[in-house]
Amino acid sequence: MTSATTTTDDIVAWISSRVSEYGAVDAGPLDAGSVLAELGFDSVYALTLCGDIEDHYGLEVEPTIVWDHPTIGALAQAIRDRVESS
Amino acid sequence: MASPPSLERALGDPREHGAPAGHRATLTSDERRELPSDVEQALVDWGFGAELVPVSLGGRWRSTEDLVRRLLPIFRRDPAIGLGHGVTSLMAAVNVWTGGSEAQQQELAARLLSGARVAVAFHELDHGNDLLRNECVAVRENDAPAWRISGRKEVINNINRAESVLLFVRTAPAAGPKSFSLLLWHKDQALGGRARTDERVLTAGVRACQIGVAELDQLRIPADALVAGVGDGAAVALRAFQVTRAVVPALATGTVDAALRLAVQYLRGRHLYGSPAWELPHAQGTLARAWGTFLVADALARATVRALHLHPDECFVVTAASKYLVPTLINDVMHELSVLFGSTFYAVSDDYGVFEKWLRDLIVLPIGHAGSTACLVSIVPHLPSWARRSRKGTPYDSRLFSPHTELDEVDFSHFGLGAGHGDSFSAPLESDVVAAALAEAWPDLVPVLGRWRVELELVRDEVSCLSPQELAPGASPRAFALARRLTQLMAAGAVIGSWHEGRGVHSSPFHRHPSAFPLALHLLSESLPGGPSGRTGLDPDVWAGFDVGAMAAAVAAAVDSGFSLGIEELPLHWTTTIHAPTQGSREA
Repeated sequence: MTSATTTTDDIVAWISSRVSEYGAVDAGPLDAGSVLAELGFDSVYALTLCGDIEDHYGLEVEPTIVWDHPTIGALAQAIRDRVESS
Repeated sequence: MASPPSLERALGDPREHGAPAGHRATLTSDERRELPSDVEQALVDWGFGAELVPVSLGGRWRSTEDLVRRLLPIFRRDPAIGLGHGVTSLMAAVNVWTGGSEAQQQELAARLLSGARVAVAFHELDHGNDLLRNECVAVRENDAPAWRISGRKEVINNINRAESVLLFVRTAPAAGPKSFSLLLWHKDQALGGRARTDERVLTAGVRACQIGVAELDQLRIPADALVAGVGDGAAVALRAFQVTRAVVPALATGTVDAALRLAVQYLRGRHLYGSPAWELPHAQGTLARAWGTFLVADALARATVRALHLHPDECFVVTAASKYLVPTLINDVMHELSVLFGSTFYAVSDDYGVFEKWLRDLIVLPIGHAGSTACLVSIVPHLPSWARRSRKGTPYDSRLFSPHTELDEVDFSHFGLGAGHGDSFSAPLESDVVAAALAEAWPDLVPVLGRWRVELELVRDEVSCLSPQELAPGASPRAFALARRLTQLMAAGAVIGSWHEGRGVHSSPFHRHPSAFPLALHLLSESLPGGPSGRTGLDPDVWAGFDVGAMAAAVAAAVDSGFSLGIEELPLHWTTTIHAPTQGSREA
């Protein structure tokens, strides 16, 4: 699933795929600069994404991680930091 | 700090005419829409403010369960005094204990210790519990160390008379949780602008509470009023309110205790069909249902209070569950008891009129800052994480259900906004130790535990099928139903855990009255899928195998011996002896 070689780019791609999968948000072309709130990504999707992060990366994260890292790129970096330190 | 004297002892038997916060005085206060100044002064002298301040800041608050025990006497007399004096200062203060700087905490502690109040100004009528749509705006002035605030905050307890106000304000225009901040406005430190706070809001319940509106027009307050960082308002409040979501339902149980007490007195004094109403099987069944439902509510409420100390990571969901289910159950109990009082319910009488007031007061509970439906909504999106983590199994933690657990100060930094690492409340349902004890003590109840275990599996499975769209605030009825079923699972865990830890404890109803545990568990189990609908009283066909008379007698025994009712039966230490009209009463 994940390894020490997981890059931030990998995580950006993974988050983008999850966000597209949720369907209800206005996905379009996503990249590291995409702001989640502008995609209609509310607290419910934030929690859903937290659950997916837990399943995929084995990390229990607080929903505030999404509030504190508003772009896909910043969020990916935060996940990358936690994967490294876990 | 030594324990303060018991308020029960200080205030005395509320049925005595002329007693402070006695039933007669409470009715008068309600009619006048004024809190009784003598009782408020007595509470200030007793050190109510110190109750809201952690020990580390010079107050008396260490164990939140002890705080609840110390404040319950107020709610046994008048929830309007409890809220109005009151508990809303606690709601404001917990935000500062959670996110404030050391200097802010010390200043607020000093003010509370001197008897000052803090209003909690979050609410805007247009947005209800939807904090993230609030419009009251604060702007940081570029050329001066000040905030400038404009907008309205509505239905705010003590807004006019409080010396300080905690404001939840918008500090950025964007949608989303990072656009809000907390400002602590000490009225004696305002720098200019206008604030009108004298518009009163009249309510049908808790009529004596001084509820009003703040109309702020360019109000200027010092820059250091900011609690936590700019944009941290929602994150701090969502953590801090976990404490009050746990404490308020636990305190409200005191009013139900008082109502049950009054019902016993009424039934014994009222004669129907040639004998006391007390002897009517239907009356006894109604009282028993009220008591059993009350035990379920109190078991969940009290364990939730302990969870603040023991499992803070789970408290976002657990306190929402308690704030949803406990007020719902409490209002069921009050409705049930209103049937008992019959036509007397509608009469304004010195002896029993207070019941109708309490019923009106308690209806406020599911509204307030963390409304019951809002609590259910906030559980829904956590359901998938809850299912995922609860499936891993959570160890049974006996401390959560024991009245003897020593609780150290709350660590506010440990509250989160997620589902927690596990589910300590459903853990009793899966514990082999608890199951073995149950099989030994109550073999008849083993199948009931089995039904709850099946329910736990069903809810986990059904939750796993929910899509993200179904978890949104306009959630599907299916998602709402699952959240409700989770709260009932948690209540079942709390009842079974409280029985297991209380069965050898002198103050536990599960030790004192053999009928209490099966009654509470069976009543709660009516909520399982396929249970009866339109539940009232104890249908003789369904409850044929139960000694309903013994259940009613258990309630009467606690009342006669001057003990509190609920998940803890403790001496009330009223100075006057309680005289029951029938033989068999004894002094505590």
